[in-house]
Amino acid sequence: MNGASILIDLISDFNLQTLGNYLENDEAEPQVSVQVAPFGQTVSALLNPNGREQGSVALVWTSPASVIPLFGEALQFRPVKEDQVLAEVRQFAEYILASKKRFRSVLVCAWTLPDWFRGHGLLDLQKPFGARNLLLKMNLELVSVLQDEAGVYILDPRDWMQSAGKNAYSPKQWYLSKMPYGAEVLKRAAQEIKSAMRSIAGQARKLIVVDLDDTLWGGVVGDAGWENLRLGGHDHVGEAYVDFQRTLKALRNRGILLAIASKNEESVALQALRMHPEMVLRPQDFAGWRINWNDKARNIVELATELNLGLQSVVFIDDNPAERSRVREALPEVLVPEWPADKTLFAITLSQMDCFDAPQLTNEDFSRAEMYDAERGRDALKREVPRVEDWLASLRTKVIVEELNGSNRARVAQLFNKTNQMNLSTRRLTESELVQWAAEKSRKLFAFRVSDRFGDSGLTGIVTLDLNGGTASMVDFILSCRVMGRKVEETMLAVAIEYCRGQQAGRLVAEYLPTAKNKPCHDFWIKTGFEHDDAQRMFWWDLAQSYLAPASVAVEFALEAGSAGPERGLGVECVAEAGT
Amino acid sequence: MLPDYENAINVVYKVLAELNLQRSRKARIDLSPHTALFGADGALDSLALSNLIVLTEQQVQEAFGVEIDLTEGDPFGSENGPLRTVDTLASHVADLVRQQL
Repeated sequence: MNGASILIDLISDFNLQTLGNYLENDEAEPQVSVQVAPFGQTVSALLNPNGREQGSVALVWTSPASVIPLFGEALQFRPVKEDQVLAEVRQFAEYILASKKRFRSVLVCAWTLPDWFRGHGLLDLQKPFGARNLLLKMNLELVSVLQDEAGVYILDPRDWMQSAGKNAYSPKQWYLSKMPYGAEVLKRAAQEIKSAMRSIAGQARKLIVVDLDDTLWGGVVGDAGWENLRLGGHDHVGEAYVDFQRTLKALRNRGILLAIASKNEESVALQALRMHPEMVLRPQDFAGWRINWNDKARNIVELATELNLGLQSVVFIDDNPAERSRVREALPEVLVPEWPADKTLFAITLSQMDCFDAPQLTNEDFSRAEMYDAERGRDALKREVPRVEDWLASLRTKVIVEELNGSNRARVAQLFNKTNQMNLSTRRLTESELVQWAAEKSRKLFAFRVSDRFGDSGLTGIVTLDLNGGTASMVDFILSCRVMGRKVEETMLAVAIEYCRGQQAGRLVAEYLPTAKNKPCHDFWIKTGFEHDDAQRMFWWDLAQSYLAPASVAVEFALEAGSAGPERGLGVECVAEAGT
Repeated sequence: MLPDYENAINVVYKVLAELNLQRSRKARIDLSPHTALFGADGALDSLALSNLIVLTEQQVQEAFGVEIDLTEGDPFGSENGPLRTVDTLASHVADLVRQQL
């Protein structure tokens, strides 16, 4: 995201110029330039750019009484009908959806009431009078209309106001400059907006490498023994370590990988992880570890390589300032947060980190840790079975082929934007751009779910095709590195080729666009049997021939009714090879 | 904290440091008693002046525990008013705080 600044439109019924100033002058990435729409003209700013430049991102932050007139009536204690208020909310949400055509992303702030508002006091959270009751429903209605729209995200400003404390609202600021919020709220809003933009750009961190002694537990396990560690018990420090481990475990549950870099004897440290009765994190919770006496920076590089992650995905947590300083200096891409000396602050410090925020969460994210555990099982089997063919057969790999649909498009977009190595053209598309691209009649997108006897790797492959007369173009060929080398690649080609044959195309062409990271894709394509030019960038297949699908992979099709899927075009040998 | 000039100007500097976070590097306000804030040579536009007033009142409340009103007496009406420079603002703040104690 370094480089050119991103143009962000601020759309509001109050004066957001100060927020714009904070955003433009905050040195955190991404750098942004701001254009503030005339305040008080929210709907026209949403629907009509009025000569303003096309922004990449819009922030829509409104006061509820201003954009939902009936809510204004309710604040005046006039009776209003709830369904009519919610109809106004839906109408406003439709304006936001209409504006989405002009922006890659739209950030919408949920509505709030100022802390000085008492409304009906004791009755304000209750029907039929309570404004707070109504506002809760309005926010839920807004979310329910917007949440399925790709590229639209809802922010909750209540957190910004809470952190600003008593200066969150300033009547004087309102009367002087038509801005109801104090500077602290706007500063925090700028941080959160930038954090959201980093998440949308795919900069979320994916791996936490954590130290053990005095970080995951109190004490030095090599000296004290696992029985004497400070962990749990009737001890405030022991309880704090347990809570820190719980926070790490919660992150693991939402798809952040955990690993260990510790200077210890491996057997001693693993024994502590297995044996201590109050240990929350066990060895199987970690995707990898380097427990030895080597330099931690070197260990982190090894762990990232082993897990197929770039260093920009890594966070390193260590209580020792010297180790933090060493890793910061050696590996500037790794995020090394300053870590409090007070153990009771460990859990909250981790909870407050925004670097793990992702713009979408998919089933693959939730089961990522299990997938890495399964990968360890595959590796162990590979060491036991000497012949690669026997190993592949023993995996019992199954591939399910799907088209782009409402339930998989978030994951497909995620794969588009995260995959570097096995990526033919490295096209980056937002979810909405992807849906728009695939809507053309001549185009086809196949998504591939992969599983085997060790577990479900989830949706990990994508092929897109554009059929133009007698020639079919493969626009994208994407496969997550976690399933590379298990004959899924060849299966994807077989599916694509049989589909094109079924569409009576004569030739399938694919252009390899080199990047700094996608050489593995080129290495694969050279071995596919496709013909290629001297520069080895253009590959083509004569569709008079089918493509022999790997015998070790079973293929199922889960295509929508009426779809012209490859199962209707698969040649006999391909069905026999791939489907059994 | 005593409502003397030294403490008052430190409050103003703290506010200006916050305002500088809203400004580009080359437009940052110099933290000096002679810096012109309002008027023909003033560093602040009307929005920044509003922010200066609100933040200064909040900082005074925090530092001295009293409420002051910097908008009293039409401070924008004259270029020779208390918002003219950092120095005049600090003196004005110290006076207002003393009156409250």
